[in-house]
Amino acid sequence: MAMTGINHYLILSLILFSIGVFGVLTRRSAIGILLSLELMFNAVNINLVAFSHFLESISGHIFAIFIIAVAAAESCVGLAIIICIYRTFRDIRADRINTLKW
Amino acid sequence: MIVTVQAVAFYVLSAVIIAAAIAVVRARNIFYAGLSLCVVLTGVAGIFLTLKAEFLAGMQVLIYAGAVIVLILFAIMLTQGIHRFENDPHNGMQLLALLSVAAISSLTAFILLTHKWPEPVRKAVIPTWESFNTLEIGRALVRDFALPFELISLLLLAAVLGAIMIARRKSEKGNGDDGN
Repeated sequence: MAMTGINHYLILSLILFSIGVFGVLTRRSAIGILLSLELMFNAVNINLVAFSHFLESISGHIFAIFIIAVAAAESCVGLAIIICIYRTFRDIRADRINTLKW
Repeated sequence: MIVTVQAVAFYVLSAVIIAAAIAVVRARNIFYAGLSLCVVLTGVAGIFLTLKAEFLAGMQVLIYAGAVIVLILFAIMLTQGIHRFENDPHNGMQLLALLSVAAISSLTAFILLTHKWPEPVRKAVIPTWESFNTLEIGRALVRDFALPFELISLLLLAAVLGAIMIARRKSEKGNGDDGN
């Protein structure tokens, strides 16, 4: 079996990112959209760590750490907003929430 | 031999990750989607291990597969419950979304497969690269990236406070007191 080069990791990252974009575009539930967003974050992290490994520089690791922290903050705020929306509308399907003012 | 083991691990992990990712976007029950996301995150931690990023793999398991997944599962239980199977979990744009995603990803794949990536520049500090990744990360965090490192903690604090403020149940009097 051939040795894995940087292209293998980039293709894996691309596939994961594409699945994430598809999920964001088509998922109906707002939590499902957030889950697909996490897929995209992880694709970006694979990309950064792969470049960091194959270019032998530590910066990619640092950026990946920052992305993990920002993603944690993002999902924290996003889920809080979803819970708040659920209290108001009793529904979190993104195509049902179409009222700007309550 | 170690190269072969790494290649086998990469292919197995990739298959698991892609299958679980498809389950995340296709599952009819949102709770199953969250559990599939846990599989994806653990698989990505394995991918980090094949890239000799053991510290990041640990972080991935601790923060993502631990904390974020628990947060998401709690949010699912607090909103629509864990045993609702939706007949139609997608909106009506699947074909359009599939076409656009296929177009963009094939273009990106074409570009990255035809591009010649630069060779690594050998620096004097590189000898520690193979065995002391975590040491290098710690050094970089307190030297070159000290200010962003402190700012990220401030961002996390602000995000957690904001999340509490948003998700808090307002009292009926409207004076902002916690009515629980």
